[in-house]
Amino acid sequence: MRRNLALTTGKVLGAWLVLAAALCPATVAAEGHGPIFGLATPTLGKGQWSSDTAVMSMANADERANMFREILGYGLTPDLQLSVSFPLGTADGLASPPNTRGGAMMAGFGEWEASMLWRFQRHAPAVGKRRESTLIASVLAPGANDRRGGVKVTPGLHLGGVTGYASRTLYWWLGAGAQFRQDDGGEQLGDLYYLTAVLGWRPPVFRGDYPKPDWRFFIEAVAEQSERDRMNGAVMQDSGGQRVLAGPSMLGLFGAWGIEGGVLFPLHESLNGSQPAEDYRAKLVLTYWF
Amino acid sequence: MISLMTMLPVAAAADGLAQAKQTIFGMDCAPCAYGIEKGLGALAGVESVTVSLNDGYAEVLFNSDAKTTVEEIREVIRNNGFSPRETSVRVSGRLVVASGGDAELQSGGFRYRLRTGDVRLEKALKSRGGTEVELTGNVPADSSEELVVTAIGN
Repeated sequence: MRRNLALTTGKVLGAWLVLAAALCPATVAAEGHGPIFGLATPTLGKGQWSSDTAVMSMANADERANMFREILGYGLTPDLQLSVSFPLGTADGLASPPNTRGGAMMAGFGEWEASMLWRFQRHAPAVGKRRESTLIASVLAPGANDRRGGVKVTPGLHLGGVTGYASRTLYWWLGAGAQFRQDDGGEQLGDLYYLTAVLGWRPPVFRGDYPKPDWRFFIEAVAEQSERDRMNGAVMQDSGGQRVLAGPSMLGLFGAWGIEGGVLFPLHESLNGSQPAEDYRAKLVLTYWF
Repeated sequence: MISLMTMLPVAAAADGLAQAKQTIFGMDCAPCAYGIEKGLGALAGVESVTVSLNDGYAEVLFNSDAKTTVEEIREVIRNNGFSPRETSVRVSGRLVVASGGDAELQSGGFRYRLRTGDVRLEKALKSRGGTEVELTGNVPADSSEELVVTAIGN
């Protein structure tokens, strides 16, 4: 039996109002200096701005879609970050795209997203080492492409949490999240639940001191459980399912600049219907810290 | 004692922090160092900033008129999300020794309570009361107003 977790219009509007109030002075944050697909804990410094320009590509056996996005970030305090992510354009598109997210602060193709990150726990036991945990709350709004796989894209809410460790040598993060959509006249994209795991390593050759270039490598994994979409009040058989993806990514940092790229490949897919299997997800992000 | 110290004039020359090496816990990446470099560089009287990720510190050199305090340096570190620990400093100012023997340095409009772990150094401090001095020492992580003196300059 499918548990109905649909958000009411009131709940979504309420979340919008809360975040809109918080975003009044300025808006917000970035993929930044963490992994590219998985959740991570770092937040911007107080008063710091960042800009992430991203291109994400998804493909199945027959089609490929590219999404261009911008994420602006602002550090309200050392542990509270605001961010807004919006599409710069979409080239092509998948007839039956997976119900997924583009990243920690990146909604699906063509959508707007405003996020708040709260690093509620932080402990630095030594030079170059940090153990911390962060909560993420986002609201989503449809952009120009208001249909995905034939289903109307409605406002939504995304919640996530992540804990992890950062050092000059090793990194790890474990995260979990969920995304819910508003029901609009019987149309609703399925709820999405996901887990992320990231393991990072900075090779000795890249442990040179600042301002030398700072490179690190990650293995990222994402596990997703998507509920079925609904149209005209009825569930769509060819929607939803489970996916586990994993792959490498790398991050290069040069003073105020960062460049990051990675790819995920499906390790396991158990889809509810006859949707096409996914081939890969790739992403490239260029970051600047103001 | 405090009122007696307050009555003493604070010197106008060779006054303030000359150098501060701030130990930082939790800083792991280039953007972290960039943010700290930028933040410290914006403080009053800063001539140069050097940040080391591997050794976990930021070293700041000041001009002779700098009025920046150790607490202001630590606030920059905290604002960037990291933990400031001990600060090694070279600081100039007027040495004031109260009748009870307590010593403080009046520097850049700020006062550091002085202590030493060395009897000879303590005697040397007391003998220099009322003069302009340059002190080298460490400001503990849990107090920005205390200076553990390790050397006395001119």
